[in-house]
Amino acid sequence: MSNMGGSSNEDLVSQESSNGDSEPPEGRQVKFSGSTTDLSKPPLERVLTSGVPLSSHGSGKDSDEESIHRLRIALGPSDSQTDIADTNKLSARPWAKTETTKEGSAERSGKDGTLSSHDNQRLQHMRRMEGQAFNQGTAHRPEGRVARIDDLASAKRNEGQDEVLQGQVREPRRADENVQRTEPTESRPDNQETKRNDRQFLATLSPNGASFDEDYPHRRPLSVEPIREVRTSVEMPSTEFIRDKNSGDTIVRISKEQRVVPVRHDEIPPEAKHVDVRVLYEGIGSLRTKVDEGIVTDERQLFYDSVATKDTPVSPGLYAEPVHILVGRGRKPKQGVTIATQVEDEDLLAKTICTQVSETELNRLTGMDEDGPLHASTVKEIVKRRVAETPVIVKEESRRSSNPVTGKEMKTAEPEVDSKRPQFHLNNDDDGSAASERGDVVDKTLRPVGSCAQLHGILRKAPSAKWGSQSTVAFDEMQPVSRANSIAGGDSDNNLRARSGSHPHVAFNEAHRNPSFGKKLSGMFHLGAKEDEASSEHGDAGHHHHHRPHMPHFGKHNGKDASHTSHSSTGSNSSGQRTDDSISPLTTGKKVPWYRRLFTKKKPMTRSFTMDDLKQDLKMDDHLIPEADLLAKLNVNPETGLSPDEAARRLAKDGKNALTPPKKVPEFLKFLHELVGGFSPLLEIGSALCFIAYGLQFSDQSDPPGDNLYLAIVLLCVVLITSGFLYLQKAKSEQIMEGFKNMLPQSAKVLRGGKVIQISAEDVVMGDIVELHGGDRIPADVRIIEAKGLKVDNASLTGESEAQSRSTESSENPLESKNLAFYTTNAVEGLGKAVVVRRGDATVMGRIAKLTTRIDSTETTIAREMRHFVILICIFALVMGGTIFIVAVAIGYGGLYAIILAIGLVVANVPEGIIITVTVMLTLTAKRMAKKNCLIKNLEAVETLGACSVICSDKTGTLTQNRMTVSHCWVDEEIFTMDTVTETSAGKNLPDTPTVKDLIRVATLCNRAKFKDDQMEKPIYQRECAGDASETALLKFTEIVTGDVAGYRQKNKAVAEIPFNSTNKYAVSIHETDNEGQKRYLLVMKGAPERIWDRCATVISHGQNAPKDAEWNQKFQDAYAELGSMGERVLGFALLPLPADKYPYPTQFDVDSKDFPSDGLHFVGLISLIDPPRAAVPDGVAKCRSAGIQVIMVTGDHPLTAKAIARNVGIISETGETVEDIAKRTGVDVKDVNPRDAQAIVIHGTDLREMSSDQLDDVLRHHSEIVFARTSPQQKLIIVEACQRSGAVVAVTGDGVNDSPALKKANIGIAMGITGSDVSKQAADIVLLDDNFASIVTGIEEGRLIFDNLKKTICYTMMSNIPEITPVLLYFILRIPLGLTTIPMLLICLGTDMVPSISMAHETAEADIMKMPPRHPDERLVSGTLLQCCYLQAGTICSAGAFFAYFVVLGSCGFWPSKVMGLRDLWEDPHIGDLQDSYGQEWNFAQRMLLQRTVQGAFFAAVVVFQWLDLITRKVRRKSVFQKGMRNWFLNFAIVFETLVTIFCIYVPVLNYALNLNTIRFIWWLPVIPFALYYFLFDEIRRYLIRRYPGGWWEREHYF
Amino acid sequence: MATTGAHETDVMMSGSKGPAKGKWASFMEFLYNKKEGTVLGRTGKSWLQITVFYIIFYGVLAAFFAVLLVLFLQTLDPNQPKWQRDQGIIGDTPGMGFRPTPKDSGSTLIWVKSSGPSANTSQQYIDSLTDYLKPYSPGGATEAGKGVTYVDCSSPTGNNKAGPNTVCAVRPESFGACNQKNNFGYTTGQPCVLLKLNRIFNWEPKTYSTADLPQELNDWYKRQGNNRPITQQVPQGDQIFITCEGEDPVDKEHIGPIQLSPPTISKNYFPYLKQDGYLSPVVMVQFLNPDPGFIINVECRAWAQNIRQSRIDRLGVVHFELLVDR
Repeated sequence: MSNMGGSSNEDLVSQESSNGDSEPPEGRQVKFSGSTTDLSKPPLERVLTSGVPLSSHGSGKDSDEESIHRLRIALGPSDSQTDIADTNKLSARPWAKTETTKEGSAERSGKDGTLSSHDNQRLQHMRRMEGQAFNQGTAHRPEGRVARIDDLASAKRNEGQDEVLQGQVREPRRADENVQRTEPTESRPDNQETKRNDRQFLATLSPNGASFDEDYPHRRPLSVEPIREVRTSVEMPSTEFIRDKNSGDTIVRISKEQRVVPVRHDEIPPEAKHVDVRVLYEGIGSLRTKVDEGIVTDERQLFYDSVATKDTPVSPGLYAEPVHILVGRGRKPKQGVTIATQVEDEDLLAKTICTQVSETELNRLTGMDEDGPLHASTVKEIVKRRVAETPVIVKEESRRSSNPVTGKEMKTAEPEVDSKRPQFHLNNDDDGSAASERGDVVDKTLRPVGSCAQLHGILRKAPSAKWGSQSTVAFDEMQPVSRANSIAGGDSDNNLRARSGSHPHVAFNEAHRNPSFGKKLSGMFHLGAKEDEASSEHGDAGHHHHHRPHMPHFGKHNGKDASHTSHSSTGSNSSGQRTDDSISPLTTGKKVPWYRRLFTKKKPMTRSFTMDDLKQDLKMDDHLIPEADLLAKLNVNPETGLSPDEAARRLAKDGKNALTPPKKVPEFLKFLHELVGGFSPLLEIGSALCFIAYGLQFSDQSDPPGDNLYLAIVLLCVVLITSGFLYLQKAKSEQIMEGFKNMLPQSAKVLRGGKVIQISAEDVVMGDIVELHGGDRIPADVRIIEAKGLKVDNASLTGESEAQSRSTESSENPLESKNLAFYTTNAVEGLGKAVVVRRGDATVMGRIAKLTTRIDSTETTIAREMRHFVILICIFALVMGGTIFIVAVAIGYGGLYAIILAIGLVVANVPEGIIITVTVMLTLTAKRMAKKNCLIKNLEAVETLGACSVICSDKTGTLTQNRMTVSHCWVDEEIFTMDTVTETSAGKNLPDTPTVKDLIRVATLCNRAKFKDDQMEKPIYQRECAGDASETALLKFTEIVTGDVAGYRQKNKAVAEIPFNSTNKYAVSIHETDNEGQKRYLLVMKGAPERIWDRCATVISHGQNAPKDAEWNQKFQDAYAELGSMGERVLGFALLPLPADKYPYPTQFDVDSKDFPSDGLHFVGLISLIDPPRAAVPDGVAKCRSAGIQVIMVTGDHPLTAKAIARNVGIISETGETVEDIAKRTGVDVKDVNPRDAQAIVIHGTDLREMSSDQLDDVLRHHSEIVFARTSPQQKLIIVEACQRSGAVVAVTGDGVNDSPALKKANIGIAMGITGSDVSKQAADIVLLDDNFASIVTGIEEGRLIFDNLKKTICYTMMSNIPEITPVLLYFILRIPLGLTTIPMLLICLGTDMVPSISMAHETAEADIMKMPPRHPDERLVSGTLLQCCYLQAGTICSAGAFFAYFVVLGSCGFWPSKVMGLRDLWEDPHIGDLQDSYGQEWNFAQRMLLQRTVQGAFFAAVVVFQWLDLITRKVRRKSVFQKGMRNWFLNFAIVFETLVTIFCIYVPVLNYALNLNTIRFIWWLPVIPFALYYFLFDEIRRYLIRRYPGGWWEREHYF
Repeated sequence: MATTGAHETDVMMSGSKGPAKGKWASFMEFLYNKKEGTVLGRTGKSWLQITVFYIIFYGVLAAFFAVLLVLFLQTLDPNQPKWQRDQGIIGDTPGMGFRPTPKDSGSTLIWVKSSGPSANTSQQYIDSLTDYLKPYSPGGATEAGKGVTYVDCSSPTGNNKAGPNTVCAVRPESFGACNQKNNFGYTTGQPCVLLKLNRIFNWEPKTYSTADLPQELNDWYKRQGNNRPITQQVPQGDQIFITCEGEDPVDKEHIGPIQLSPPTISKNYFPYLKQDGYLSPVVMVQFLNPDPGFIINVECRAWAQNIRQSRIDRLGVVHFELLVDR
């Protein structure tokens, strides 16, 4: 920067950079100062110059005005691009690509180098420009810009060159515009030239820097222009804070020269819930202005977040006028809605990343900290310059805006655009240009990172930026289209407007891709009408706004000004009060349509993470502000900590430091929920009708029969009992989870009042000084103030499996900042002291936990099936009941009678017990699964697991043991494979040669890992160790081999050691050896093999010390490559006995000066380490394969390792080849291999990021063995969604916090019980108690079994519906006495059928279900054939049997069938006292009713008896009962049980009367038996035919 | 791209594959899918196959049912119920019937309008009684058609008793004033109501001897016959006694004097064995002077040792209402 910067800038730099070079701020200041000079770009001018930004692409049909507007806004910049292109024959595409193609790999894939050369070129242009085009006052501007670029680069050095590219990309364009602006003034004759140069530069840059965007030629180069309207700069002395009387808002008034928005958290009124900052500018050069309450201001709403971004490139002089910032209060942007659309917008992310830093920095810069103004001098400089420049620019602007030439330019661009998007003709040019202008500006305002692609680059290159960024990326890639739609579709609000405006490329791009689905998506996002309207209005307003130049000199050029003014104010109003009631005083007074006030409905947050949410997560400055400031802010003394009193006070004020548990639904609501679920409503209606019927009867006659009342109460009881049961069941399973959650009470060591005390982590308060020790769990988000070798394991948060060291250094991204440690992560080793900066829900973890709850989990398959089923049955029942009611009334029955009839039918139709049955069955299975280490959180997940067809599995911990283990040794030119599973046999196959001994010796000695003290009793592999993973692995290995590492080390004491570090890549230590009484020193070294090899002079082999020659070199390389190709971590070992003469016995070695040799060592060998697969996993994977379940490995590990493990466990089969394998085998180039030939594929996370969803779908379709390596946990979500798109039922395993979205999204989320984070456990449906993949397999087996058994159960239970329905139907049609009344119907459903149907849960599988493919997702639980089988076949036979019993009873008591037909009316007339039967006997009413009850008893018994055989028959779906056997003793018992229940009900005197039954003769049990046997036989034949003709018509029609 | 995107969007929305159709549209398509030629999800051939299958299935089932039913009916004796009296549901106590039954079912009110413009409404009762008594009249349809020989069982002491081949005659002469000639008293405001015991196959009464008559019955006879001894009021021998009374005190007050003819039913009329032309023995109760304008709840009972009177089950008891307008 310095070489570019002008002298004044350099001064600045020197002034500012005293803080130390690691922090970027000074660069920024330079930037600010530089920016002050450029006032050459009046916004309106751009409005005028730009053509109508009508899109040539996108939604032809989207009629939503708002979306059009937004599109236009979004598209706006394209015309300026076109403009450029037009003049300069430079296609806009390259830029478009740079900006819009998120997947564009160009930036990432190594063209940066070329770009940077262009950068230089560009800078030269800039310089030239500077020389030519600008007067003295502006002379230093380019440097400013350049400085900014540099600054950017330096600030984001980690992020690699992409950032530089970004800078470049942004730069040229801005310069270009600057030039454009200066062009018409004629005072700068050279600027035409400059412009050309600039464009040439652009042209040269583009092919390299970015590829052309062929698809969307008009996509503008987004964010090429980094001009920001939000100025951020050094502090300003003239800041005024004005409190608005009306609203209580704080207005920050900033004078012209100010470039900083002096807003800090502290300034925000305490009542403010959320701060949005509106920047109001007044005066010349303002984009839009507005008269409001006498102040000439321009108002634009921005978000607080975007106020001051770190690398906000300051628009050179764009707004050289006083600025007001309104600190509004309580207007929390509605994230859910807005964000849903742009969650995934990476630009926002980029902004976010930048934003993180800015606040603090800004505050510091602006001197708003306690320290007071720091940089007054700088400010003065700026002020001076600014003042000097301003007038010139104004002139320029006014001239420029009236320039007809530019107008023409603009017009030329227009038609082409229009032709492709005719509907936009509706709008006049002004609109378009204004919109475009606005979009342009906003875009520039809010976009610090050049493009998504760049962002990707940044993220990739900065591994620790992984978390937030990648997650966002993931979201983005997931559904770019949907997002686009939602943006385009007009389902956003004002907030969105601002954003879509700010990210025109996004809107453009995505709208373009798929414009017409906005509406749909808006539906998807549950966006209500209000928001839509609002947004459309906003869009409108916004667009008016844009082209309404309020400034007098602008007004001259725009005749429409006046007419638009009112509009604009409306617009700003609506935007102001977008989300709620409070209207800012600046925007008040204008109409909010009354209907909108009426319908201010809240919108549910529906979709995944939102960008804003993430932003909030990341918006953190506690790690950046100086430690002293932080401590001061937190008001704590790091030496003594908080005083106990203060701590108590803070605790009382802030509450417990814990994650707020998900909102608990009140218990009664849960119960109510059960009351309205399932069949309950139907029965409730029935009950109500019965009450009504009784009421009518009651009013009719003085002493009505109590039947209806009785029935009403019974139905109500049924509902209550069912609901109560379900409620209790759910409460029970919730309790399991509750217990699970509270298993680990946390504690923390805090410094309070000078003493370290141990307290519950819940009692930790803000500002507490916490002591961290290896092994502790971090009690809150803390900032490290002291660290000694502190390492934390952030795996649960970021997915990085390696422990990361922590120190007091800070970097911008909180997640990568070394001085932050996060709540619930673990300190692995070392010591540290830290101060609590965030607690509870405010922690990063808390945020994610909260966000996860917003993801809609996929409805479980069984829930969906049950819902289908219930709806089907309800409709069926209601239709039947309704029909019979209507028919009955139509043919002249009384309404009451018809109602009772209809109720009977409804009750008959509803399998009341089935919900309970299913629940109990699932519970039983869940219990069984819990025994197999699958804890089921959500009962329904039991079945889903069975349906699952794809498992996306973690590698570490799930497939592998999560324990590095020595797997290979290369010694004596031979590779030995170690047993990684059993500890007794590890290393036993090593030959007993001197070289091996040497190797073991080095491995033993050059190792700092230790067993923890209390671990010595345990088996070696289970001991806990202190030390990193590889050293631990070596320790365990050597312990096994040598038997006594500690003793050996004791004998050979280390006298000096240099631990492993990433620069050296080796560890070395010197030990005393006792060689035959002669004490000597031995130097041992281990590390990266190539490093070690380099340091060796000889190779020990077969006891010989051979000189290292080319041959050895080759051998070494081969061995290294071979081990490496197995995906293992390879370590080299070397030793050097120090000559006794040079290093006699007591020698003091100094590690720092390295007074010992580190070259010329003797190479001993290689040891490679791997995290070996768990023993049961290969078997489990094989089972999955044979069960037709695809296992996809998703890991953050290296592809080679991933592939090796995948091969080991069988995810990639023996024969499975990747493209690379094929290429290697056949010797052809990788490119020439047809990817379709490869069964297996290993996809790198970065490739995945670049894949479109189509490509990903393709991969999933064409490869059966897939490994995703180097993926972020967030990418799991993409993978899951892709799998779900392909129709698979997806199970996902995960343990990290960041897995939780994927867990939730998956059809079935499986969390790890041991390693899993609480959040992931909460999001999951199943918790694997042993973290073992094999447990999933058993779970799947159970799940499949339960599906079969549920089918059987349902078929069994539903059968009895028919013998319940037929009596009512025949009663009505044949006019025969009623065979079965409502009460016995309920008795069948809830009494006798219950236990047998539940006993089906214990039914074993008919065949090897794990050899069958997973059921088709479309396979219904209750299918047509199932209904046929149970209704049309079994049901009718049962009915026939039951009616046979009916006729037998009636006939043998005197009423022959011939007599019975049509008897109903006489039979039921209570006044007929002498009804003759077939024998002339006369029956009075009571006798007839007794007979009817007897008949019902017989009917009931008949159904039960039939169910015996039905149950036996239903045991099997395909096999013969004789093949299956009767070994299900639960079922056998159930048959007896149901019979006993029946006997009880029929024969207990009073009870049977109450149940409408009567005792029956034994012989009346029998008539149904022939029918049952008939049915049994029929079903055996049915199943025989199914088996006999598989796939035939019979199977199709009769296999359920 | 746009189309794929659209598709994906739909997929995401519907959660399933394929473009999401409206529910109605997919329902209509289910009803009739022109492309597949399916109606309700089946093609014509499929419908034919399944229809044929179910025709056969139900045909066989129906045949099976019919065969079993016929077999069952074969086991039944057409002349006597399989389960009789206590064994059957009908039990061992007959209910009682009365005539005339009012035309509108659901009511047991006999509304006699002996004068005035609607006096002829009583005609239905007269007709009802006439109809019921048709078989009773000598040369009635039953007697003539079946060639049944009736014997006189009216004498309690006589030897004539109903049996498998013996049918007792019930003589209309014994009904006293309650005959068709004087319109069963309906035109004079002294309506007759026919009472009978329900037939129960093979049921025979166990009559009270005069000595062990229940007190209640004795009392009734005392009230009825102005304290005349019961023996003077009823014939000697095995008799089923019939009593009629107002149900409640008010009814008792308004019921007025009644006349039973014949006063009892002889045991000899029993048992009922599904004899051809069997005539149920009847008793006419004539209300000689019921208070006009009052609805009188009348409850008549039959008395024998094995008649378990139950008002709830209406066993051995009959209930009707009488309203006489004058």
